[in-house]
Amino acid sequence: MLILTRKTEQAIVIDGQTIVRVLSIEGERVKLGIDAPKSITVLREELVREIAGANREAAGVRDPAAIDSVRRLGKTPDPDDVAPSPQA
Amino acid sequence: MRMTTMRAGYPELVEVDDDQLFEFYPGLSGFEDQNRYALMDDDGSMLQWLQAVGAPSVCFGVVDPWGFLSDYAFELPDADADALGVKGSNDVIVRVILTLRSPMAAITANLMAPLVINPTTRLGRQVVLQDSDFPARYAIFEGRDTGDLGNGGEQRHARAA
Repeated sequence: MLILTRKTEQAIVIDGQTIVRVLSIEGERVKLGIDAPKSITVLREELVREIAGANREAAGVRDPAAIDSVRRLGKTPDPDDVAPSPQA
Repeated sequence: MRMTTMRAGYPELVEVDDDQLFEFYPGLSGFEDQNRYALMDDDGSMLQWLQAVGAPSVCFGVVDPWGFLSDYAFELPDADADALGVKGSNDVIVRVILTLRSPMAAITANLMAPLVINPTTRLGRQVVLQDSDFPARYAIFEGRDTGDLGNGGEQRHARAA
């Protein structure tokens, strides 16, 4: 990992095209300006972690009753197929 | 092509056609090493399976979000449109990943990170809607009368008319 120090208004250049500049520092908050080509996706890390967590959870559980509930979505209901009442 | 899926919780050998295969670059978050997937139908219901080729246990239940949420909408970010080769208004396939938990109220859809697939280039991406209010865990049966199950969209439209 590359570790370096920057002051306000200083920047780093990644791969000749992406510029990350320190705009301001207030206490624990650092405001960054990111100038990247349109083809580069810039995301907050916690968001990527949240999506990864949601993906792992989704791949890890396939409950047969849940699958059945989704299968019935958008299908014409069978009159004999009465959904159970929710328990109080 | 023959491949193994664990969609039902046990290994199943299935036959998939080339037009069901898509490449995801980058791979889905948490599954970055999987890039090749098959999109498989499920008995004619709206449920489909996104199955990683060569990794039977990496399998996602997915649905068309407009099947349960008619006002779902987002703008495809430029970076994703470029990477997918989407030009103008050509058709893309949009699916959202479900977490298939029991009970029904625990079934959620990831509206924040839809899967967008370009059937022409056969490329797919999980697009992260960073600035939207759509949640990563949206309870799809929330507020739904269980007796109403199955006639979803059509009946809602009929009532609105």
